[in-house]
Amino acid sequence: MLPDLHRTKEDLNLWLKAFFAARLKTHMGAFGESPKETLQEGHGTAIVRPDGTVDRTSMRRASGESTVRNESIKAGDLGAVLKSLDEAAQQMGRQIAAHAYKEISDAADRVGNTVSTNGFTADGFLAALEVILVPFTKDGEPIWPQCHIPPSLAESAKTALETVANDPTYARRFAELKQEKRKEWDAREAGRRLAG
Amino acid sequence: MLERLVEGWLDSASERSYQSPFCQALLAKGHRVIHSTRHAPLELGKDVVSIDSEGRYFGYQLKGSPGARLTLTEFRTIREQLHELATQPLRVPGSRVPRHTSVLVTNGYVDEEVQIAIQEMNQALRRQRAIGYPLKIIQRGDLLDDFLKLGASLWPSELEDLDTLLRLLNVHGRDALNISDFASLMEQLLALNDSASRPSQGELERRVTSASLLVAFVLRAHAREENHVARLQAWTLFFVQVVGAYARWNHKPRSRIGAALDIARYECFRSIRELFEEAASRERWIEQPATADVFLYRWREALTSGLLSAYWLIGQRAGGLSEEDSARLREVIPERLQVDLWGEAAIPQLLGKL
Repeated sequence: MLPDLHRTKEDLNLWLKAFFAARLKTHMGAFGESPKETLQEGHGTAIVRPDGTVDRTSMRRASGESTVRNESIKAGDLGAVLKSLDEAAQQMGRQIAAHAYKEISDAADRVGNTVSTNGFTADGFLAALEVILVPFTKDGEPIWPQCHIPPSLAESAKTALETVANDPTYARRFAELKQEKRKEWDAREAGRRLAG
Repeated sequence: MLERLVEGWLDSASERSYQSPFCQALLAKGHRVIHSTRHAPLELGKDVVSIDSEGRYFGYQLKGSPGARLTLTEFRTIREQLHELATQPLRVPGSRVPRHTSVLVTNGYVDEEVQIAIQEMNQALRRQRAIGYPLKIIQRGDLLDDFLKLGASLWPSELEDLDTLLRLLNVHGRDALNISDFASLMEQLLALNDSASRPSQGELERRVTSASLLVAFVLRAHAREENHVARLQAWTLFFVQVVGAYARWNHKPRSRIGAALDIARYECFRSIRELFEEAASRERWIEQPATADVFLYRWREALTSGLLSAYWLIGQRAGGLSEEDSARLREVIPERLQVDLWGEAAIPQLLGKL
């Protein structure tokens, strides 16, 4: 073999892997912030709902491909290596995010939580909030869900949210909705049975 | 503990790995080693040729059967080589063609069936008055006895030294040799440390043999990966420290030490030669994983180029390099190096290239 430094290279490789993981997290968008768990065995996960239904999620492959030219390695061009890793992370991140959105969409369709509107409107926004469970903190503050909007709807979403915040009619409807959600949450908490 | 470690080493050593320690053991037993090489057509079937203190010649064929048995099936595959070993004369200077004893050396166990086959082969060799009759066997137990008696029994065995030794052994073969640990053990063994008292001539000779076995032992993992540079470093350090020990204690090296140094020199040249062959055969000098190699490529290029340049320079001065090799070396060594002066150790490599 030609001269090499195995242990040093292992450390450097760990650093490159950490870089890749960080870039993957960025390219997964909001899903990059979601908690992660390693599956030690099996081929998927399952959620058992309170009504006894089982929601299964299978494993999906996400892959990315990129090229580093030999010349870049020879020249010690770290920038080229990092750019290549970032490209692969971007491809994988997009696949994972697209898959996650599809799973959420399918799950919402299955339980009838889908609200169809013509664009992002104030009415559509309130209608969407009506069909979802909103948890509350011990101090009574609502924990609102994240809202993911494609770039094409960004402007109309901004206008709709301003309407909900500033228009007295919508603001009142929103306040009522918040109280309703609080009642729903309290009822749910009161009805919980302790395990064991 | 050292015994178990040596046993472990022998049971994993290839014939290449234990050839040098075997030669050093022969020297310690009063033999002169007059030939030691591999795959050289000049000495048919003989990896090593030696003469003992009574002037008797021996031709050895080394086989690697690490930790295993030499079975009858395997024996049949080497039978032709053994026949050559026993029937072809040694080529030695002078007009006399000496008779020799043929020896099959293996670091494995020899099956009983093989021993019977060798007895039968010996009867045939005796009938035909073969020049290399009889054919004898040196097997795992014999080698282990020699290596323990001549080598490990003198190795430093304080707890701290064992710790250093284990650290040297517990490496990946693709890693560089830990020169600091290696040098510290050798210094103790060759009485080069500050607290050492003057060894007698005989004692220093025994220590040199022991040190040479330590070199092969420490290179166990590197040998598996064919880490030419680690091997070169270890044998170079051995060479320098043996010379240093003789200078320090004002002993005159006798021929046995000269021969031990010759073996070390041979190992150095064999390592650098193999590095050259590998560098020449490779389209690229990138080692996997390639992405992490972005940090190390220039270091490897400078080091390899420096060593090959030194090899070329020595070849030019000593005249041991053929025209063809010289031309190939010039092709292999990159014309322009991308200089990374990462530390003072890089300077000789760059100067070597210049």
